[in-house]
Amino acid sequence: MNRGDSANGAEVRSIIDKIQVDSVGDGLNVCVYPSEQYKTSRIDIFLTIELETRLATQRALIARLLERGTRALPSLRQFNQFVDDLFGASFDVEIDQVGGNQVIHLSFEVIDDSYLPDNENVLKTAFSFLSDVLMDPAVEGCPQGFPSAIVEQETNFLRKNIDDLFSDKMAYAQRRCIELMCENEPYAIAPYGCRKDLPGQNGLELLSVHKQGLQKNRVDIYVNACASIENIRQLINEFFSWDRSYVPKEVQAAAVQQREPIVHVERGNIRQGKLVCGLRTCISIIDNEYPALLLFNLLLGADGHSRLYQSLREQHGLCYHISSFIEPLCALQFVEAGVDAADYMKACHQIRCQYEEIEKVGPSESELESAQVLALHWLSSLNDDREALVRFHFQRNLAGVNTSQNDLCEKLLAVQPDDIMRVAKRIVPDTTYFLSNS
Amino acid sequence: MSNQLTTKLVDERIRESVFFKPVNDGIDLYVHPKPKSHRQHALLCVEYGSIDTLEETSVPTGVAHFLEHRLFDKNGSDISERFASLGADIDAQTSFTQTKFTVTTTNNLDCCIDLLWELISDLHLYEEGIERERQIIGREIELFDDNVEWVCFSNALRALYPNHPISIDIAGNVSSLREIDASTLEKCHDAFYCRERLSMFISGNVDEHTFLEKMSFSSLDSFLPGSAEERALVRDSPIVQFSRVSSKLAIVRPRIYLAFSDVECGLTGLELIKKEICLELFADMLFGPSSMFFAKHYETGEIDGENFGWETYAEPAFVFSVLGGNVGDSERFEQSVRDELIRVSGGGFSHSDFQRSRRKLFGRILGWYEDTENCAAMNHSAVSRGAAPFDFTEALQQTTIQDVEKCLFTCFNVDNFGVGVVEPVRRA
Repeated sequence: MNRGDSANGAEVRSIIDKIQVDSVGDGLNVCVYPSEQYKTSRIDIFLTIELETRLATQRALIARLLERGTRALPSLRQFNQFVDDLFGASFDVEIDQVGGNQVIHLSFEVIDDSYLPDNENVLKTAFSFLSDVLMDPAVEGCPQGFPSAIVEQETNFLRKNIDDLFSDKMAYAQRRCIELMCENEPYAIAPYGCRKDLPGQNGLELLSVHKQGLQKNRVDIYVNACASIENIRQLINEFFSWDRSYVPKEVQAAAVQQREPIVHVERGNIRQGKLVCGLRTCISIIDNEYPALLLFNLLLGADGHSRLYQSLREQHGLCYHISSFIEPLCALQFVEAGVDAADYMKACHQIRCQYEEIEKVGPSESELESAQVLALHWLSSLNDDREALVRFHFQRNLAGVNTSQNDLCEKLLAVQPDDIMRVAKRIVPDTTYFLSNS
Repeated sequence: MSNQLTTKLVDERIRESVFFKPVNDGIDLYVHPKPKSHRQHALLCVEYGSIDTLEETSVPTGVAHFLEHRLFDKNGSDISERFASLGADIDAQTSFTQTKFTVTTTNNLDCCIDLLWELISDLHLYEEGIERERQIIGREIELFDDNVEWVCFSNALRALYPNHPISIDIAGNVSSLREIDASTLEKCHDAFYCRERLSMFISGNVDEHTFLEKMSFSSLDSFLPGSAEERALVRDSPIVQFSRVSSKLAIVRPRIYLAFSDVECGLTGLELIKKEICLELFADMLFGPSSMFFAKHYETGEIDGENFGWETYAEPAFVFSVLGGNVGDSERFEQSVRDELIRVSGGGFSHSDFQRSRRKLFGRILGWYEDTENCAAMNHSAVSRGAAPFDFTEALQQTTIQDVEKCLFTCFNVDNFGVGVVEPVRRA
């Protein structure tokens, strides 16, 4: 390993920097990135709004209802058959959380026309289908609403899904830690909704919430296809134009609420305990120190050779799974591990030791170099994974980051061991949550 | 220097090509260039999985997986740090029939491959390391004990193949872990980590000539062991039973998998891939999102869109399909699958459903070749089963609706399936 390799790595053939963003000024951002690397076209649509309690549940329901039919394809079977008929196209609507925002994320992937036996134009069909899904869903009655039978079915499903979170113990422990740590912050509101807000939801109100959202909320559309930019823009104008009355919201800096660290232990009927530690990094994606935080996280616990893995798993045999991750918009960091109740204290102590050691001694030169090379590899790899690439771009765009990917690479390479120590000093432990197996 | 001929395979339908060359007396090398991608990827496969054992010595379960873990320890230091310093991701996994090591990077794949050879051939065994590994794998088993999907899948296999190693956890169990010692690990490493059982699949932004040349000169000879004391045992096909295995976990909804075993064992090559494709098409036509079954049982809330589905496992030694997910009531679900199979046995296969599923599968196969890692995985998946790299599209083209209908008798037989269930326990 030498610096020369890293310098080459910095000149990544970045697709992300080639994404053309057309912001029409009414909160509708169209991002087009032609590339011939893929055999399929992909369309991503993000409908974004800050998390609010009752509204979050309504939008979680709307996301499900959009997958249930359009006026032209009103039954579930007709709707699914239409998608399957498009040569294994995949259509998905999911609820994402990006910082304190709830995002309804629609995605569509369909194979490129050039692979089809006859002269079918599936790209155009995909645009037309998505336009119907958003603007012409299956409705009933006058005034119109989502059909009540379908609303009832999807309400039941959403209730089951909310309950089901409990079945995935690690995800459940994470959610509990966030609830305890970020009480009163939008980040703590569950993006998939809340059980108590489910009764009484009706198709009429839900359709009106959806229509208002289309007009007033931020919308980001990403299109990648083998077609020319002009061709794609033409399709967007034809199928994704509607009246907008967008009122931009000031992006607010995350208000840090520091407090004495708390510890919360609950008992669960499980074989292995789940430990989640929540910390405030005080550094968000728009801060100058963010590249150093990325590297800190990488050498602490985001990779298989990182310190938490080496110490807790390899050296002390306390766990099989341990990792750390950061929430870049709300300036949070989490460490999660599967730990036996008997080892809980030891594990907490070892995690603390790793933070302290980086803060006091800093990383070695070679350790930092490894983290830098890995981060560059990861950034470059992103160009091969459209979904991750789009999410990465969208997250930065939402936070108001407007530097290029190559710029980020250069900043990562400039980070020194001292910078990592400074980052470690700023991180404040907040909540330790343990779902115990005893 | 070996001067064997390089073969180029091309599939016009999906516009992909693969280069093949046997190198170093018996190792098969496949290079799949993806010039527009950014990643470089190598998959090194050892034909040694959890169901394999030795001819003369009885071996505790979980040795293949234990070895995979232990190979990362080189005299007390973890070799993944050296991959990391090259900017590469290294990963390994053990299945029923294979141990796979994968590395992904954006440059220096050649250095990573040298490290891969070292990773699999240089085994350091010492008491302290083995004891620590036992602890870590114990934790891994515990982790999966809380994973409802895994527990349900294991239950289904225990219901279908109760007396075969396939129904035992790949990682072994607490008592088998205790029996694994240095001598067993060494014997199995010698017997299974040999040329005849190795193959390598490279894909991504690589120049095929560089790799085809380089691999012939690699320092492999100094790594691989000489002749082994013991030989690997030939794999047995499992004997099928149709029972029900149920357990309880702290979950909310029951989970069920129905495991169907295909009677046509021993297929290889294109025929085996065709079998896999027939089973996929069968399941998609009858139970996929476009099916009557799906719409009916989704609308009543019996199944849900997120986790209802199926998986097909087609190997020369066994072929089975697993169908299910979270359900309202496990016995009611089982009955509705049975009803559906009875309904179609009266001639319920529609030609338009067949066409749709076939178009869909073609699109999905094409989509898999978009991704660098998947290209290597697909080539490996075909080659390790005696087929050629692009046999997936070939098999799909050859498959007729009659082939798919036949699955009703060979596999999806109304009375012949094992049932794995996980029921909820009351929350404390």
